[in-house]
Amino acid sequence: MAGDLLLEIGTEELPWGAVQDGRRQLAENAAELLARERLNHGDIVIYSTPRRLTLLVRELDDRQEDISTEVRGPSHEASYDAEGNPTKAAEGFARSRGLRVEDLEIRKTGKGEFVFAVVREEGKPAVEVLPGMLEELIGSLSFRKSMRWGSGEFRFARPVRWLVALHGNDVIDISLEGLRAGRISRGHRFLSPGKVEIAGTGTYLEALKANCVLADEEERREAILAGTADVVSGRGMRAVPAADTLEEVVDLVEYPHVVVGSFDERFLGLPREVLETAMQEHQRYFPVEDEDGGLAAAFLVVHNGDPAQEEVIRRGNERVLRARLEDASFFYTEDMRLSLEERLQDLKDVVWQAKLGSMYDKCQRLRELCAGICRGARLDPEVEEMAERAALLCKSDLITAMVVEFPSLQGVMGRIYAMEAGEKVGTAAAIEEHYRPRFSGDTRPETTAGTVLSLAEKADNLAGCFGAGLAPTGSEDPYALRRQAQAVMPILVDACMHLDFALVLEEAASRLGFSDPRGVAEEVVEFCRQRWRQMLMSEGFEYDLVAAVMPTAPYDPYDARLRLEAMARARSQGTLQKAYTGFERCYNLSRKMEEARLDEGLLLEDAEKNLYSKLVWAQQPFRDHLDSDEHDAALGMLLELAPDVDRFFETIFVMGDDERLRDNRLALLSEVAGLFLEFADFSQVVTE
Amino acid sequence: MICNYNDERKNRALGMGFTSGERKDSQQATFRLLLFDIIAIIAMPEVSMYFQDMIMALQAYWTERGCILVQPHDVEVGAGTFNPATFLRALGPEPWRVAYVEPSRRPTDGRYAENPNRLHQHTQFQVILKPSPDDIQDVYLESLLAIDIDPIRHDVRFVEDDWESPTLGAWGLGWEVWLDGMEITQFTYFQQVGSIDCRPVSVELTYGMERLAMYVQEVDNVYDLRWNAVLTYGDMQRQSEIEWSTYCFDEADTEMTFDLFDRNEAEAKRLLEKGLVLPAYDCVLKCSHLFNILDARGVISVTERTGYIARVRDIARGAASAYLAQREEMGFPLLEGGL
Repeated sequence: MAGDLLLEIGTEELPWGAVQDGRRQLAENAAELLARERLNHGDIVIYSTPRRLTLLVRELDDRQEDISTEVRGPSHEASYDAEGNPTKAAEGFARSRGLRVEDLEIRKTGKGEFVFAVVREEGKPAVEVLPGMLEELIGSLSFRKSMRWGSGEFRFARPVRWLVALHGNDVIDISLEGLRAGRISRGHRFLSPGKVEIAGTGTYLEALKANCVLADEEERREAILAGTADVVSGRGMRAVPAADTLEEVVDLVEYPHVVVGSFDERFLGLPREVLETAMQEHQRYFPVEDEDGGLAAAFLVVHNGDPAQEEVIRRGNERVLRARLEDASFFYTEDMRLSLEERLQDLKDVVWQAKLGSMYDKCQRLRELCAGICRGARLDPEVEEMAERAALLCKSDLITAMVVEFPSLQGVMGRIYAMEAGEKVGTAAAIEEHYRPRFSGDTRPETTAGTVLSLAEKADNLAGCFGAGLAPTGSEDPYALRRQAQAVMPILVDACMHLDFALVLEEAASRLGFSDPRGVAEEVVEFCRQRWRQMLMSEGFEYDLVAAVMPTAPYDPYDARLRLEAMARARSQGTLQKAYTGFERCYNLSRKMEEARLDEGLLLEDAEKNLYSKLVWAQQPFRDHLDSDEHDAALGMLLELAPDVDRFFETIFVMGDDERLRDNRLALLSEVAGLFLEFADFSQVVTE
Repeated sequence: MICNYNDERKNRALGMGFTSGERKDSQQATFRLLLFDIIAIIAMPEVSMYFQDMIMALQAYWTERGCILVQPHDVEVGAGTFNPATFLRALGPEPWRVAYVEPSRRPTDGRYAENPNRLHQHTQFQVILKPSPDDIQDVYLESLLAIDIDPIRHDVRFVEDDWESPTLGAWGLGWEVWLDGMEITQFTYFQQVGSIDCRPVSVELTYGMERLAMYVQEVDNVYDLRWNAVLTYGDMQRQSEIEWSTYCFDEADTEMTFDLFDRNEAEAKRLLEKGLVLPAYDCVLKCSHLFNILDARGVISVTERTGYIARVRDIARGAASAYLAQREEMGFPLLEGGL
């Protein structure tokens, strides 16, 4: 006999993040507890609204599984005397296991015959186990921020106000700080404020729906998307909700309806980003596009009210948005009174980090770092000019009214105000791009000047924070240094830019005035290496190859990536193994060599002469290929050496008696291995 | 129904509402006033509730539910939370239920009466219930009916809002209550006050009266609000907004203000040592307000800011723990039977 299990935790309105945390933990923790309690079950389903977190376990057995445990006791001989009567030892053993001595069983094992105590524990009825388990489950949920309420000590994301706990059609008797579970849930706060009786687990969704609550998240998402399509389709418009706004809105309503509102067209003169932010960030409205893809003077509200009151709700929201757009419009006009350059002086009063000076200082450093990066990567003077200009202006938007009001527009407003002031497009773009990626999964800089400034910014942030003792610890990373460190490699790869990033870090640390710039740079480099190792492995590259290409000096992440890709390709084509074998034989013998000079005149045998001439033949083209980023071809040159290495070892006994010949041969092998090592640390490669 | 309601207001404004003191005025003056009122009332659009009526309605609603009514604190505060009836009473085990209006000064929000939504001084209606009742959300929503807002006819939402006051060493979790997208109330379960855990937890409701009134009266500019049948919000507050904005942004004597900050801080510490908790707490409030003026004057840099906030927090903590100790010594007199 199996029936479904239902637990609904009824709360005051949960924040979106708490709904997400709650859903995940409810599923995971329930699965864990059910396994521990030996209660077999079918699917685990989670429902949620802002006012409830619900666990549904399908087909939960109404008994725990039986278990039997066997414990070996004394040997047969020790357990029974000659007459076959149990000894004291046997009696003691039986007693210690809670059995009668006649219940002991005799079994043969590899080591002879022994008595065994077989203890069968019969599973308890679920009804006895579930109350404790469900109370433990509720207590196991933890949230980023939790609170107490009333006179209680229990903590939850928001106050818990009711509990429904059913197994099949029966109430499970649990309680939480004086709150007892029953079968009474609640409907929509306004549209159906009464109590809702849940007759059995099978009627839960239905009963709530009848009371204006869509408890299934997916159903609400669909209702919102359908409602959105409905209200705009007839008008030749298209809603453009940001994905995260949509996801959030799904969890802010129990009974979604979509209403379209409009605003005065004169606001369309504001930059699109400003309009979208004003709509989305605080109000969670969806912006709307017209047929040409431009922003329409309209917005969508997903509301939780009575569809019959649509007119009132529309008007109210229109008023709110109007006030916000009036504000934005005012900020925009005010901000335009001063150019970004004119604001530069005011950045002297804006602290970046208490130990690391002002934003003004930072801009000056960024400009110098940009110059250094441009020289290091041999970029055009035009790029350098734009990057340096952008460096100087890139923080000025922080003190504009718009960014103070909408911090997420930092960089974006910088670009817009730079364009208004007649800066070059490349300069303006670099200002916007230098924060990227702003979150995991965000786009990276697209322009070269933006790439340069973005790298300078990251170098300055990383060196600054590490030097000032603000490196991330555990899960704490308030300056998002992990994201920034990780981004350096993909940014350089996107831009196909060779750059010794360790040098940039060292320059940053020295411009920050740290006493040991190299030490700081090395610390950051190690930090970056860890991030990249993880990143590359999560992309599917194999551990040994990642280890083989991790850059040392020069610290050129783009190059490392190219080498890695070439090696991964060679492995998939089966050629890497061949190259590796050649390397390994040379390397293993020669690596302990102190120092040896190769004397061509001492090469006697054909095989060693051939290997040497092949090496000489390969060296230059190999290095040329590397310099022109033809890593497959460079690896191909190494492969060419393999047959000659094989022949060498087939015909020549290296460790002969003649010390001079032996050392010379080791020197040859060392040079061959050295060429491989110029490509990557082949000694890290793992073979089958 | 709304019409009747207005008629009643008109009657009151046309004479019945005046106090006896005003009736002592000469016949002529009364007559002129009367004539002026009639013209004004005809010219003004009808509204369902005046600003002052909404305040009275909330006072009536919450006092009927067991809150004592107190008056605004007579020291400048940035929010009703600073009133000792909230800050101090939220501490310790004694039950507490209070409601009051708090004119709240935010020197940096002043706009010389040129902005339709931002004010140097706005009006908060504050309710504290300790311990927080289980049905508090419902009781709150019912209070909206008292000010002519029927939640069923709108989209009312409880939107996550984590409240924190670094100057008071206080934080709590709760919501902004939205009415058709507009924030009308802050709803907070206090977790800590003066860095002391709140046991039991108080719930704080803060109604933004101007916002609510603008919604109810359907006006887009706060200065157009009808205070009563005769006067607008602008009549009452415009000059004050202009003068205080000018004072806080342009004229406040910063040297004197810095000096007053230091002296009030020192006084708070001295008084705390003498066990004079309430006078010490007033000094905390003065420091907090002086800091706000200095902030508006733009003479406190970002780095110094944190330092000043920490200084206020320190004496606020001192007052909080001294208050708690004092109440404990008194045997928490409100515990038995209480209010």
